[in-house]
Amino acid sequence: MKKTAYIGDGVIIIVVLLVGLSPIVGIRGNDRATSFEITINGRVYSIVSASIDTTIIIPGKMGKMVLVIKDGVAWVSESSCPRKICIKTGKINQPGQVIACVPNKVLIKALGPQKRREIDAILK
Amino acid sequence: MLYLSDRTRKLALYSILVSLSLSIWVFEEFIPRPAPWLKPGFSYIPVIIGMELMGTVLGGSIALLRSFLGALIFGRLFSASFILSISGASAAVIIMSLLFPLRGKMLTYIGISVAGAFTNILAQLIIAGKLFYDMKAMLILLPPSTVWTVFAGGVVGILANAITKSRVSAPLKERKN
Repeated sequence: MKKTAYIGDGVIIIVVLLVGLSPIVGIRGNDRATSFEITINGRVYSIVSASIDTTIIIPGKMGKMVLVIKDGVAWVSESSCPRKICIKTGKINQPGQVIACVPNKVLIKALGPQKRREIDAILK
Repeated sequence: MLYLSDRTRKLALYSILVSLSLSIWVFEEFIPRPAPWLKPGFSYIPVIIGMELMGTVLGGSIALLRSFLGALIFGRLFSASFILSISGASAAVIIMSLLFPLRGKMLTYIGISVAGAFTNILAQLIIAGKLFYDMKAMLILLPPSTVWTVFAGGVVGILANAITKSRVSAPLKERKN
């Protein structure tokens, strides 16, 4: 054992890091939205599948909004609201991401594959 | 000067290495650490020395014996943590034994130790995912654990390099079996 480290050590460390850190890429890549839920004024307006490319006109409170879904990604292309924050939000494709338009009271939420519910019961 | 037969020397050496490994393992249990399954792994230094002096089979058995006796001390024999510990140790020992002949040619103890540490964690996470928890949670735990294994495994390897080079281990080497 003359040398303090060989190339093999480096190779092992690199291989270990590659294998061990691969889930970071994998988890993000696999988790894609399967559908988009459109809510107007707190009520579900429609749930649209992410796999079909469509353009939806949403009747918001101030006027119409245009939602485009293409290749599993959704974004708002046109909106009647003054500040256009919903357009600036950009594209969403991961479960849990949200596009909100406050003046129109429209909420577009990306939904993932159905998971176990974490709520046991709701009392009203 | 005390002269011992080869068998007695081997027995004494083996017992010392097992008890060293075990006591380091027990003390590591009390050291604060980021997560319960992430230990510094210094108990693998006697294992590496044992592999060097007595061959990979006897040396590797130190790790298994250490897991067994450690579980006995803490009173959790055949519990979940024991199953994880022993499966991690077995996986690490197998990989280390396979890589051990390459030492001095392409590898040092650093590489062997990092590989052992990583397979240890990997085996534990896989077993935990299959038997006790959700596999997806284990995937999330893998990257931070990997960083830890590279760090801890590297430190163990550097220490093992230093110990086998130093004079401390010289009396053990002069009459290698």
